[in-house]
Parts: sequence; C-alpha cells; structure tokens
Amino acid sequence: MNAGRILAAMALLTGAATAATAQTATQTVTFAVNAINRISISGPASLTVNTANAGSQPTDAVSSGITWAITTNQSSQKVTAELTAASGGNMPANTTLSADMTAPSVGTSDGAQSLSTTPARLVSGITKVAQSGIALSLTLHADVSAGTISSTTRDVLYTVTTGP
Amino acid sequence: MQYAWMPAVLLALASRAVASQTITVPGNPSALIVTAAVIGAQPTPVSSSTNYSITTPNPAGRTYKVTAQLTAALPAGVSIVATATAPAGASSAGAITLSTTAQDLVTNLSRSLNYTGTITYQLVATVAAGVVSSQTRNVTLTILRFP
Repeated sequence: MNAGRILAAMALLTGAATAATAQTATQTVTFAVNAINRISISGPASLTVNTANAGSQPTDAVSSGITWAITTNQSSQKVTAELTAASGGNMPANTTLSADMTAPSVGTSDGAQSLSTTPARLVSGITKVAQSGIALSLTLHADVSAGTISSTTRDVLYTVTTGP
Repeated sequence: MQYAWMPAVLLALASRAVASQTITVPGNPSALIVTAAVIGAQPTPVSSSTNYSITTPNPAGRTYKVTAQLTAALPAGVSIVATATAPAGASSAGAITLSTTAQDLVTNLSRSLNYTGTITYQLVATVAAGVVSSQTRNVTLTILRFP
C-alpha cells in the first residue's frame, strides 16, 4: 500500500467520522388554515315601550348591555341582521326594531338600521380581526297607531359574509 | 510495507465513528389544520404527536442534545411549536417555536442511552395569517454533543 492510497483512505474515514458527529432525521409537517368567520351575540333583549312625553309619540325602548364578538381571518367581511320568518317575520304594523352595531377595530358601522326579513348591513369592511365585548343596541319604536301589543318575540339572525 | 499497520488503525477509527449517536423518526405527524376559533379570540391551535428515537454512545463524560429547525420559513402569522419529552436525567426545553435557526429541544442526554420519546407539533395561526392553503415544511432533528 503506497502513501497516496493510505492518505485517500484516511480522508474517506475522516469524512465518515465527521459526519457521524451529528445525526439528523427529518419530519415533514403539513399544515393549513381554513377560513374562519364566527360571530356571537351576548344574549337576548327585552324591550317594552311603556311611556311617552305628553303630546309626543311613545318613547323608544333601548336595550342595554348587549355585546357582540367576532373572529374572522378573511378580508372585506360584513355583518348583516334580519328577522327570521320562523319567529314571526316582520314587526307588527307601526312598530320598528332597529339594531346599531359598533364596528370592531377594523370595520365601519352603518349606524342604526331597521330590521326586517331582508338582511340589513350593520357593519362592513371587517378584515382579519378577533374581538369581543363590542357594543350592540336594539331599539323598539312604536307609534301610537300600533296600539297595545301583547308580549311577542322575534329572532334576529346575524350573519358574517364577504361583501361590500 | 512500512504502512502495513495503517489499515488496521483506520478500521479501528472507522469502527469508533460508527458507534456514534443516532436519531430516527418513524414517520410524519398528521396534517395540522386550523379550522375553528372561540368567537372573539384567535383561532384555536391544533396539535399532532409523533415519536422520536435516540441512541447515544458510551464514551465517558459526554452528554448530548437534540435540536430542531425548519428548512424554510413559515408564512406570516403562522408558527409551529414543538415540544419533546425527555428521558430521566435529561431536560426538555419545553414548547419551542421553530424557526430556520436550530434550537434545543432536549439537552443533557446521557451516554449509553436508548430512548423513544414524543414530539408534539402545534400549529398556531393568528387571524392576520388569513387563509393558508395546504403546504409543508421539513423539520430537521439533530442529535449532537452537548454542551
């Protein structure tokens, strides 16, 4: 065995020894994030019109303490609200139920909107936000022409969708 | 034949090299897909666990560690957190947010060790990440001398 072959063998084995000082293994992680659009309202509201300033229409009843929350990882989302047909549909004649939803940190409120069985936009421009405790108020308006209305309920359906 | 003794020496060196530390994994974790959130909060992280096996050689006075690193960066708003169990006498670094820089998962592994543990991968995504289509990243686990 000549010196050159020995040196070559040494080089190979030195390489093997170096490679052996750290051993590795590889794992492949597959991942994805799906679209998430969730909204919730803190609870029911009870509204009763029971007073008026003399000479004026009855005083509106306004809810208090209702909040809403949202998580969305998408852009350009809006919140709409509507009265469900299953709960009775539109309000009795000469009464109005309106909703005023404060916008989250990213978005714009449309202010108070009268509710019906047709979706009404309350907030738009919501983009990638997770926030809770946002104010929401419901207002019941009744003209004197509505007369007396016995206790009744309506379900309000709030929906997060993509759109202007 | 003045170099006749050399092959034996080299083979002895090679034999020592083969008896080094090893790390193996049986496969990949199941796909991590974020699909839900507590309303008003960030999306809920998801996790998947796999095993890893290590052996360490016998030389006295040596300890070893396991590191982990990604081979490519993750999208903005997305992170993968790895947590490895450790054998008795060793130390788990706890939950480590992986990056393209190697970070210790387990340290102070003793010599002459033959251990199979668990690695849990957790996918964390903020709403800022948006929708992320399915993709993969390789995690390189390395066992080497410590410190």
